[in-house]
Amino acid sequence: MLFVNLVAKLVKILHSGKEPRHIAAGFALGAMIGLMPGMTIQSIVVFCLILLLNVNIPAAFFGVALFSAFAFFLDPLFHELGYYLLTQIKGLIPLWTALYNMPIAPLTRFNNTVVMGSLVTSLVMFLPIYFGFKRLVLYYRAHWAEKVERWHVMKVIKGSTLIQNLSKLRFQ
Amino acid sequence: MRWKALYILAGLVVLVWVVVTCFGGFILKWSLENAMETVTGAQVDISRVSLNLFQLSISIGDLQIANPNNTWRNIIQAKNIRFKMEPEPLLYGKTVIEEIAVEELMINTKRKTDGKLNRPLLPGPFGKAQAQLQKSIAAMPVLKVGDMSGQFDVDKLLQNYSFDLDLSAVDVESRLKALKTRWEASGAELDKLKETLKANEEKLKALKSGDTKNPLVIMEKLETIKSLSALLKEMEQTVRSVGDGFREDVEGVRSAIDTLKDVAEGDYQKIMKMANVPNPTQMDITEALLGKELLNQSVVILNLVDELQAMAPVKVVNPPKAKHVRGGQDIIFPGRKTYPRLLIKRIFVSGRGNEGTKLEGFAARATVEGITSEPVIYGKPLFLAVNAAAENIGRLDADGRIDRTRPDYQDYFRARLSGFSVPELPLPKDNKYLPAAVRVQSAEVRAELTLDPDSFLLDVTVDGRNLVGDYQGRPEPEDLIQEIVREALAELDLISLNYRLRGVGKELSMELHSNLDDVVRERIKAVIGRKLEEFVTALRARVEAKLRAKQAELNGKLNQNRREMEAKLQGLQEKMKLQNQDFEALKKKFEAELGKDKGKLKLPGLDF
Repeated sequence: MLFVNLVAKLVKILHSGKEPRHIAAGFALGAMIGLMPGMTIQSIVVFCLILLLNVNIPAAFFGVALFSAFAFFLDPLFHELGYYLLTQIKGLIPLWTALYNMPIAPLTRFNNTVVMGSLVTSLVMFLPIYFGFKRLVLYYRAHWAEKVERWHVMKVIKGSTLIQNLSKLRFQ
Repeated sequence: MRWKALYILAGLVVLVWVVVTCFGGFILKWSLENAMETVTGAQVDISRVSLNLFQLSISIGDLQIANPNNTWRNIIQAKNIRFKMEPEPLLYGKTVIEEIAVEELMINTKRKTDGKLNRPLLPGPFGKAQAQLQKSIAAMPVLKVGDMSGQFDVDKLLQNYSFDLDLSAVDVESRLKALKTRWEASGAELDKLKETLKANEEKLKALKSGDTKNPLVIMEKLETIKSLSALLKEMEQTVRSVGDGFREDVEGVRSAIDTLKDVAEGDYQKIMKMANVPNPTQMDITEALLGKELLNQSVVILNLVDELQAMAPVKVVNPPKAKHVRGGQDIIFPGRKTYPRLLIKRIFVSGRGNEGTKLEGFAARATVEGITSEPVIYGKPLFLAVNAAAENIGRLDADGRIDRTRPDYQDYFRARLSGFSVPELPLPKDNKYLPAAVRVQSAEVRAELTLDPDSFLLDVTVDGRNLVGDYQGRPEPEDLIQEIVREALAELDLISLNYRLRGVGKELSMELHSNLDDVVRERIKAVIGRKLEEFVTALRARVEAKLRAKQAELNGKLNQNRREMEAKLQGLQEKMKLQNQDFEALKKKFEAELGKDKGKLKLPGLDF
């Protein structure tokens, strides 16, 4: 059901006629939330950005759902990276210590290895995801959109009540 | 930019603020009541909850928690409970509770309404600790005093005992037999020497007769005497060595016969052990009577020690990388404003007894300082102190320290309960020596628990005056010791008990001392002393008689062989001595004869 939902969302987004840059930005911001573990201050901030900025919200939700599944398997790598950044780079330790002793900053749980690892990864991956997804949208619309429209399964998906309900959700 | 979304967000924030400010107390009251009702299974009433977001304080007024077993009474009632948090640490993601104060806490108070709730009770997480305790008790040394009856019969005991003395006597006897064969061979050799002596005598007679004037004949005879003397010396040497060997053998056998005394002593000790004769000086009466129960009661302490020792201090800077766990690893950095994740600086509880109940006049206060999730960061140990007193009931003073700020910690708990009486203390039914219940007019308990990372020591001292044991409902005593213990515990002016439980690593050891040991020992000595003395004397006499008989038998056999051999040796030695004298006399005579004819004949090489 989750998979069908995801595919339906993706198809809906790709066929929505929205600006590819808005869809890509929403997807990249959603990917950031998806990669970060649990509810942290930074994920709330990104969520607020998704709501406030003119980005595609369904694409953001799609990004959250897709990258949350990946992040679960990437946790050991985030732990390795976070531990390395927090303890092994001597030049950064004064910065971490200063942040640790500042108000609010500790609430981000930046001193947690998985949080730090995932935050850095999501920041580094933001632009590649944005441009990558934007190109994907453009390529799809140019080469695949019409063919897919004619598929029987598309008609089924479009006719399902779930998709109809989803399509009613509007944030703008 | 979606301005509409911004307005919605701002509206949501304002709404939350208003709801918390206006209805926070009500929401909190409802949540607390429901949560506590789920835990207790009985009604919980709170008259008001005040929430101050600016001061970060919560005040709960008139809390009543109904007793699930008697819903017309409260387990706990408190006039006011206050929580006060420090705002600044919250910005650092830390929770620091400045104070938790519980004022006028009362227990078992009457309710005006029924506090019954139709909710299922939560299952309790107990049971595992009891099972562990039973295992450790199984290895406890418990004095089996009942097995002693009927062990004073010497004949019955000896019937079933195989003496080591018999075996050792057989060994000595077979050694004697082997020696006898050797001595017989030596005797045959001596007989041969006797024959040679006889032949020598014949030769001596021949020397004495015949021509004794001719120097050449005399010289020839002197030559014969010389060779016979040499032979005699050789024989003397042989007899001496046979004699020496024989005496050595005799000494060896004698010493083996003497050693039988030690074997008999060993037999005596073994029989005494087999008899399981009570030795009052070695009896641990208190341990046998109360050890199991006290260890049973110590399970709470053992669990506490286990938990406290498991709390190892954490390293602050650059910790080793943990194996990846879901949720990651928190790295702690040094800093002036580094708070522990959770800190409760102080908890203060005061309480009093409910009027019109048995606890009327009771007052208590307790303080706990420094409860924290990270003691190393907080840097101060946890302290606790409890003082409670009730008119005509007693007084309790307790204090303790748990230090987890460094790895080589030293924790302690001390408690003193004094001036109280025990109107009736029921004792376990499975111990047939103990009364069904005891009454103590005045008692004092002092307890101290000290622990470090590897060991702990629990030291409890109990003094009770005018103890009365009630054996009503207990079956009749089965043996003498049971009777004596009952007599001692029926009425005792002073009972003093010291219980020590020590743990080093995973090893547990228990020490239990009491004046009860002396009281019971004296009575046991008096009652069974005479019987014991008779038994010991009879057993000693029986073992010694057996030893004497064996020694006499072996000595008799030895002496018989010895006499025979010694007679042979002596006879032979005397004969050789006489023959030697004869040889010397004859030699002198011939030499004198040769002296007269000196100058007449000189032959080189015949100078005697």
